Amino acid sequence: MAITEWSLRYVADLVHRRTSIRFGADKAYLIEARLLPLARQAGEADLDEYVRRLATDPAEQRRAVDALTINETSWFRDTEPFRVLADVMLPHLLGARAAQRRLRIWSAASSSGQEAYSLAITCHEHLPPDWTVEILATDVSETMVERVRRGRYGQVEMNRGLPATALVRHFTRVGAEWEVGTHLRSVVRPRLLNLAEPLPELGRFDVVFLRNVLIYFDTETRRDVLRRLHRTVAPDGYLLLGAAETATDSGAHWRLERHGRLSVHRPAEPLGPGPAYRGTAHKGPAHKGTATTVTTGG
Amino acid sequence: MSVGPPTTPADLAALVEEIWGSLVDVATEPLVPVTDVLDTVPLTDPWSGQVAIDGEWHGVVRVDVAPPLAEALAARMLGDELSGEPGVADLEDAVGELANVIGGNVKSLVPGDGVLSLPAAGRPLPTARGALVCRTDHRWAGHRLSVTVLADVQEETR
Amino acid sequence: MTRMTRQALIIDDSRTMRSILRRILTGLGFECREAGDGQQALAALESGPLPDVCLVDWNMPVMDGYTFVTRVRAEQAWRGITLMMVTTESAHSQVVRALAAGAHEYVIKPFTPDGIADKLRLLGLVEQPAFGSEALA
Repeated sequence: MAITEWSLRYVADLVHRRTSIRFGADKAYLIEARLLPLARQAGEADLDEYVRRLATDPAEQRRAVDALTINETSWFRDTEPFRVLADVMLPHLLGARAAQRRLRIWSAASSSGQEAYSLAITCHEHLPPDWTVEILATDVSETMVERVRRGRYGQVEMNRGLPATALVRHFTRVGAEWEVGTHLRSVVRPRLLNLAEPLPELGRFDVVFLRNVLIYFDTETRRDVLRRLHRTVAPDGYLLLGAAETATDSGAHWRLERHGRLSVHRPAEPLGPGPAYRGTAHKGPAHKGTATTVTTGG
Repeated sequence: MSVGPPTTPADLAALVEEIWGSLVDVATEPLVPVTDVLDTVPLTDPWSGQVAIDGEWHGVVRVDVAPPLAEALAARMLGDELSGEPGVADLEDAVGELANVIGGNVKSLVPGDGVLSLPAAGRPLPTARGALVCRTDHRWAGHRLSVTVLADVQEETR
Repeated sequence: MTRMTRQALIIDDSRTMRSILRRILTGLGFECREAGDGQQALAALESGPLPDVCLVDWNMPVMDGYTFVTRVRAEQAWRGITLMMVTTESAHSQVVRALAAGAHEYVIKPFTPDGIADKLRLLGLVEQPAFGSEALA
């Protein structure tokens, strides 16, 4: 069942207005595939009829936007970022934040929360118990923010990348689902936020995960997002993008640091108050337990 | 003991949809809940699978599948291993495994720990006995799938 | 140095479930053998090449998966075999029991092919892709 030009344009425009994500003409197959189940469930045999219905049905609009922009996610996605967090970033920050004994992390496109809770698990397992961790988990979708708040996952989701030892240590059964333990839920703060819009005041973060969301933005939006984000990363902090993404097109604001297969972005030039920072680049695998001395700004 | 049913229709429907979706492709052909009461009459001559749960809670989980649906399920599960139409053994196996996975997940909803029996499957399978806890009905590609949870009736009175 | 093809032993009393797992594992580059219960699986270990990984259902006739795991972990010669439960048993206590008995990983049914692949990657039995998958669809 081929969807009409009009319907495709309407849907692409709806998604763009809500999330700034762009759907080109090449994504027609995807729009059809993802809306078809929704159309059926709404009792519409015709896809164009369903799209017409979207124009006056806010609840259905939300469902459609979610279906089109939410991608399957897993725990500890791509593995490397979490290994580098445990082996490089946390050891550095353990030294650099020794006075405050506090870390702030931002999962900036948190989706259903697996990334935020994976970060929480890594911190829980690698930081001394008297340290405070705050993980901000933001997403443009209300549905997703609510999912993060609930912290509940089905069997299929739990099978995606979560080691069984982490499952027994950090989750309990609630009905047919698994629920993240309070020791981790209390550390994660979910919040609705559209990266494509000006940011509210969020403070500074030691680590920012902005993974697999930039690719959905056009070049200009991408540049804006990275520029806004630069102000939220501590001068000696870290920004992680998706596996094949780089922030090189944002100019001199970031420098790349390599850790095994992973590239990590460090602020090269702080915007706003604070002395310029030139930190030591980490070469090769970090040694656990070694205190890394890094001068922090301000 | 006045507690609500161990499984609600919403819980059961969510389970069935997730499990069915993991066995067959639902991206282009979704599993649709049936709400029209005329559509919930007992299936005629279905393929059936059943598991028993025994522990703090005693009961059965019964799956009734329209024959074309059982064939579609078996064909998808067996893939290339199947040459031609699924045979009786294939259909019993597929419907039995469906009952096994659904029943295993229902087991996690009922009170206490329990033991899951090996599945029984057939066409027909003897009528399941017990007090109705809940039931869901769905359609996939126009054919019906019905899942029923029954609790053993306690004879003794206190 | 060429690595030999990885071997998997799929242990489940359901032929249709074994078929699904075989398809997934073959797609990941494994050569697969099958067994319908724990007893048959032990016989398979005693004859033929040792598998790199066993996918083990819990509830089976003759010998269940939990018993199979305890038997394998008791044998010095079989210490190198990775054991992954694939089962509907999803109570927290069951997962704990299986891990305590020596299972290395645990997949709860229902699962998707990606779920199995993820777990095998965690176990180092399948390579990480060069770049994470992130494209829309």
